[in-house]
Amino acid sequence: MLVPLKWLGEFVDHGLSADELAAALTMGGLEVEGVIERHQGLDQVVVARVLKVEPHPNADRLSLVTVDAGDQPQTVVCGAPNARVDLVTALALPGAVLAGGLEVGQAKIRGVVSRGMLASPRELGVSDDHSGIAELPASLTPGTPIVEALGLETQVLEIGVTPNRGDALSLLGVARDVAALTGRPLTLPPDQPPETGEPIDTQAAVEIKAPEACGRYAARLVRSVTIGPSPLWMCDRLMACDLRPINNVVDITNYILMELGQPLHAFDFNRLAGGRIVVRHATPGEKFTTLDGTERQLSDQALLICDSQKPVALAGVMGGLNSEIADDTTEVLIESAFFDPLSIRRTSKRLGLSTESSYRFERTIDQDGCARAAHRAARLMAELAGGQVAPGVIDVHPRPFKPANITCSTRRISRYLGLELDRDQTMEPLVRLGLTVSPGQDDDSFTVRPPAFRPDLERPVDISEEVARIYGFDHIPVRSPVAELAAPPRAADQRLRGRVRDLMAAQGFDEAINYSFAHPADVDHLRLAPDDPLRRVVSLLNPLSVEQSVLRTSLLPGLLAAVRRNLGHRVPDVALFEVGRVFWSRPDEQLPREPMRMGAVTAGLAQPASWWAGEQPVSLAHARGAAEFLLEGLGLDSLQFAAPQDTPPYFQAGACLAVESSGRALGRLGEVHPRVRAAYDVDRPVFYLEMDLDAVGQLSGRPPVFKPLPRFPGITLDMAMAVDQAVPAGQVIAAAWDDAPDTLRDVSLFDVYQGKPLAKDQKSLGLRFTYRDDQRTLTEQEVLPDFEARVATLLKRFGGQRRA
Amino acid sequence: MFAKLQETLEDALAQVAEAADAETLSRLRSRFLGRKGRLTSLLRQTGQLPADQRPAFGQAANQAKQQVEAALAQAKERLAAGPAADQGPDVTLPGIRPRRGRLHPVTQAMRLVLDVFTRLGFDVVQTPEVETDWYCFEALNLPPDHPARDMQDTFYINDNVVLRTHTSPAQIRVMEANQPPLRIVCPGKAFRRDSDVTHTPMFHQVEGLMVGADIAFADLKGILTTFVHQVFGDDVPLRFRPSFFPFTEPSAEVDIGCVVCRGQGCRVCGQTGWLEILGSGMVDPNVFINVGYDPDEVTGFAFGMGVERIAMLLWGIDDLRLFFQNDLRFLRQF
Repeated sequence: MLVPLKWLGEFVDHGLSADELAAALTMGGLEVEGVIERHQGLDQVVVARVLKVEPHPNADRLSLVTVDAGDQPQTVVCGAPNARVDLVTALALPGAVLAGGLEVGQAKIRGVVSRGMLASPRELGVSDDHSGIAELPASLTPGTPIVEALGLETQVLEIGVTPNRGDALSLLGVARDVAALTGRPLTLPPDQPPETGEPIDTQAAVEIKAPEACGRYAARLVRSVTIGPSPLWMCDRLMACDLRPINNVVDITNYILMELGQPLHAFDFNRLAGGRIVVRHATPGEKFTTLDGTERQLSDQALLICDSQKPVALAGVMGGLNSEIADDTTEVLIESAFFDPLSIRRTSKRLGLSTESSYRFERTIDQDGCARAAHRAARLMAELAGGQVAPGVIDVHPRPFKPANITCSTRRISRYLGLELDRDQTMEPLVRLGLTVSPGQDDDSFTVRPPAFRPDLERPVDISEEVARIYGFDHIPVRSPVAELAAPPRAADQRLRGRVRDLMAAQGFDEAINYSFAHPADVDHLRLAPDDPLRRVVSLLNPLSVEQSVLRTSLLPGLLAAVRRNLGHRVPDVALFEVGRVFWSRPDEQLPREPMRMGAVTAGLAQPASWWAGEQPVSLAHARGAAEFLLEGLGLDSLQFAAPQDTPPYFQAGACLAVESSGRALGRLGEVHPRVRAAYDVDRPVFYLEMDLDAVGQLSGRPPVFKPLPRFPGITLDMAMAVDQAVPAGQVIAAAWDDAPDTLRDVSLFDVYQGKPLAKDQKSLGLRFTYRDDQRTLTEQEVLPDFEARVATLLKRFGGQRRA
Repeated sequence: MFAKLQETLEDALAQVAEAADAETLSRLRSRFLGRKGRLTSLLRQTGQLPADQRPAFGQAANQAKQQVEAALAQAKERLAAGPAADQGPDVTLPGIRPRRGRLHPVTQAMRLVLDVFTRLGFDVVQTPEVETDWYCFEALNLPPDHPARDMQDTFYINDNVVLRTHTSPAQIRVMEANQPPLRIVCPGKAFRRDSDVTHTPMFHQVEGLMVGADIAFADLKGILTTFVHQVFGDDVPLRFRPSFFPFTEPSAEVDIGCVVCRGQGCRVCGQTGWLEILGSGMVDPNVFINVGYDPDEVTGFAFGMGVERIAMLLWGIDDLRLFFQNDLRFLRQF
């Protein structure tokens, strides 16, 4: 909502600067988003009276105009057709900056020096008219700055009006708040027109066939108008509100729309068949051409204004081409109606047509203000368009406004806000807002009857809000609530996600957050089978783009895209993880499942190039290590890693492991299938780890069980053996435990070696055995036989050669 | 004999001077000064000299022993002091360290926010990101066809299912399942159909709700003042500005004094000196009725804030879109 300040000042003499007013309104609930400065280049433009018009010596179309601009007469070169003696117009002196950015200077035009120029209304920025120089009222004093002389609007508040405050979508509405906030009186503009001739009800009639959609219809008739341009002050105010001046009659309806918040429509009365207005619903599929020239097909919810034969306007939204005001219009019927907000909103939404009128009707206008707006429009048409106003008004009002009776308790309002207010203090801001307030029997209660311009006030809580905002939120104390000191139950899943993030970051993974959206082709890129559950995507009805048209069923596509982006930025060693939901549609349920997942990807080197670490590329073992680090860190033990029964198609076959604990599947890891990563333009191996955090959450959180510390030292014995490269180390470790005595406590793989002096297809595995007895100190002699027997078994079973 | 003594002494002193550790020193002590040591043996041979030379040789040999003792003591001192500064390791080498991963700035900001509220006894709750119209709008006092629905551009799954446009549905789900009093915070993702320099179609919010027998607007001011002071600093001013949300009344936007210009007016705050950081208000009675609470018995307040916004203000991030590009050059700054 744009609020020109001089205009506002006509309603309330607030005595505040623009900034003070902006601050007061903002803290009162009407947020001022900015103060627009206008006409800043016009300080060097003054009122001038033409004294003499002479032909230019060197140009046929130009003249030399001598004007009185306050001090001595000045002569300027002018090309306008309407320059004539005694015309009062605007002289732009050197230094002025005109609308459109033209900087006025001293110029030599065809050999004659012109100090400044005479300006058109368009050059002054007060209307679109560029047909000649401005024609100003003869009463103006030459030399007066034009801004002052015309009362131009130089400052405009830009207010963001919230949807509940339809009442503030007008100068009057904003002025009411200003009056309440400053305690200054509100002045309403004059509205009774002079009346002559035949009364309206002998010439026109209004019938409402849809009273539920049209609660009131007021009409006035103005005859013998002369269509022409509006005065410049009015054009300027409309321009300040971002409305384009059109002609005096249409401008008056727009002026009152901004001023009183009442959308008006002006019909060419001679084009209304039968002089009748009929308000009815459209028939399904009925066609109507609005004045923007578009033919629209209507539903039976749309409301039409008709004459005795045909529709002439789409009620509350836009007038019709067939009855609009034209240059030859002489008789005007003014419509000032109240339409049902929901009805207008549905029509506006359905047609995708939102106008200043529909915007206000949707937010409920002042039903009791309809007649006043019609009167004021008639009065202005008499004043500015020479109209003769027919006596009387037609006012059909099938559903009058019924004010609510809101019974309030001072004590309750005080308690709700946390304030100490007595009844008078509580009632005062309400009275200032123009509400009818009556004290009750006791000293606590009072009753509020909100007027029709505040239909949003229905309940005591609405009254609390009004008290709070006019009293000032700043005046409500800041206090600490008193509540039972109860510890909330532990948010186990939230804690789990926090620990997962910490454990992943602790092992060098950076955290990513991808959009929950996905491309429908992602499920193809993952090479999923037609019946794969991950294909059950949730689709959006109104996506922003195809890339974001479904919800993700897997974290992998987003992470692969992030790998590609970082490789593209020449960040070569990428380790990223993400914790988030995926979405699986459920045919039998309204809402999808939202499983919580952790996904992690690595590419490049396990450790970025450094002076100490070798250049070790990431591998399956790194991904497995990450899973071990994570799950053990979460307190899960007995982790089982095994090749899954069915390798998910986005992993490379033979390079995938499933991890479980206590028989419960927790996740999978492996090398991403080369075709999958290629689909995301990743040109090097990527390892992916995915964890089902819902399953992990079921198992984690078990407290550790303390075991007494060993009282006797253990013995460690190492062996190394060369085996065929194809022998899986895991099998060797597992075999080392076969029929183990309870003194064998640990078998660990401490070395894997390939290269000289081993044969090409051989590798060396180094195993460390730890023996310990809880009751006494073991000697090497005691354990050697078992150790040697195990070594012999391993050598035999895996065809190994013991290395020295 | 005298020459031999001199030679032995010089050898001993040279070796002691070169000794690099305590073990060598103790070996040298026994080699020269031990019972079978070289100097000890020479001293023992004093008897073989002519009698007139014996006192002089004995004196010289004892002096030599003392010199070696002194040199050993000195060497021990030297070793205890460690190597000379110019003989140590290259202290300028960068450290050997494991790679450090970073938490996303949204996660870090979220933790700062949640930490304040959990210490105040708020429970952390998460609810679905895909919601029904009822939870996302209608139960929150946003009936169909209400102009306030224009405030949020919604992604639809179907006519009745949406991506939640705010975390406020958590209020409804929690109140439906629990009796008052309660105080909760709900962190999570929200979605709006908007994508430009200052909007991403997905973002993070933290929702808060406190309901009890006598919770007042003054309490809302108290809790949110505590929050702002703990996250942005005790000296940051804040103001509560009347606003509108369908599910609260009265409603207030909370502005804090611009953390960039300290209220002087700058580009970040649009010259106003204030930054909007969260929306709040007293829970509208209609919301209580929708979850089966009696608005005559309970009151409460609710609030919601954008986490990216808080991260941007805390760390001076000037482009919202960076949060979801997963650019390591960005992520590794936090």
